[in-house]
Amino acid sequence: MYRNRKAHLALILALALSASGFSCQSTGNDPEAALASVAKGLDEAAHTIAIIQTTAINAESQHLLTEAQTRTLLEATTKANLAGHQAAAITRSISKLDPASRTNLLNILNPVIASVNELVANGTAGIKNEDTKQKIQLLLATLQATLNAVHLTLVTGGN
Amino acid sequence: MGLALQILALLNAAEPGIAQLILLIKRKDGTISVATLLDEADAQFAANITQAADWLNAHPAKP
Repeated sequence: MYRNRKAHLALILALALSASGFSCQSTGNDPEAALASVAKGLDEAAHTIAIIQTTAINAESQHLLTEAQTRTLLEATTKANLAGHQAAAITRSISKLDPASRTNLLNILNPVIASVNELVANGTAGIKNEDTKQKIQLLLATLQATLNAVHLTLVTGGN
Repeated sequence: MGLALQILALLNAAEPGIAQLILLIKRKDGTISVATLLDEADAQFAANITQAADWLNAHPAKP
């Protein structure tokens, strides 16, 4: 029943995102559009991380997560937040996504993407409460998708 | 748009709070300047850092 519910939620989420028009927009060879796409991705990532943190902290206060599990999540999100802040500073300083800035941003974001991938793969394995586990898994997957979209823009967008 | 709202209502019934996240993402679609987005991102990153630090300081790792 758990697997069916999880698949059901995943399908509903995919449909909702599709219907709402959330998609990875092609920026082609437009470095200004690519810059806007990166800015949007950073903003979305920041808000998703906020929800992850609040969910984890609230769950821990209700003993649905252990302190160790919460600490793991918050230490990872802290690194992501610091990297996001650095990336935002670089993005703010340029008017279009030039090759040097793309490289700088990729150097900042690649470790974060690897960290989030690890959390998605293994970070919720020990969570016993299924509802909490599913919520955090879904939120991590959302963050992963956002960061992957930014990564794609940095790799293929700009000039 | 109507279909999207129906789907969101269904999803929110199954998983409260998720619809809020999806609408938040949709709100940013192409209508806000880069500078404003970055200002919002920076403010949120800073708030996140503070929130996490407060919790981590209050719950130090046990040796």
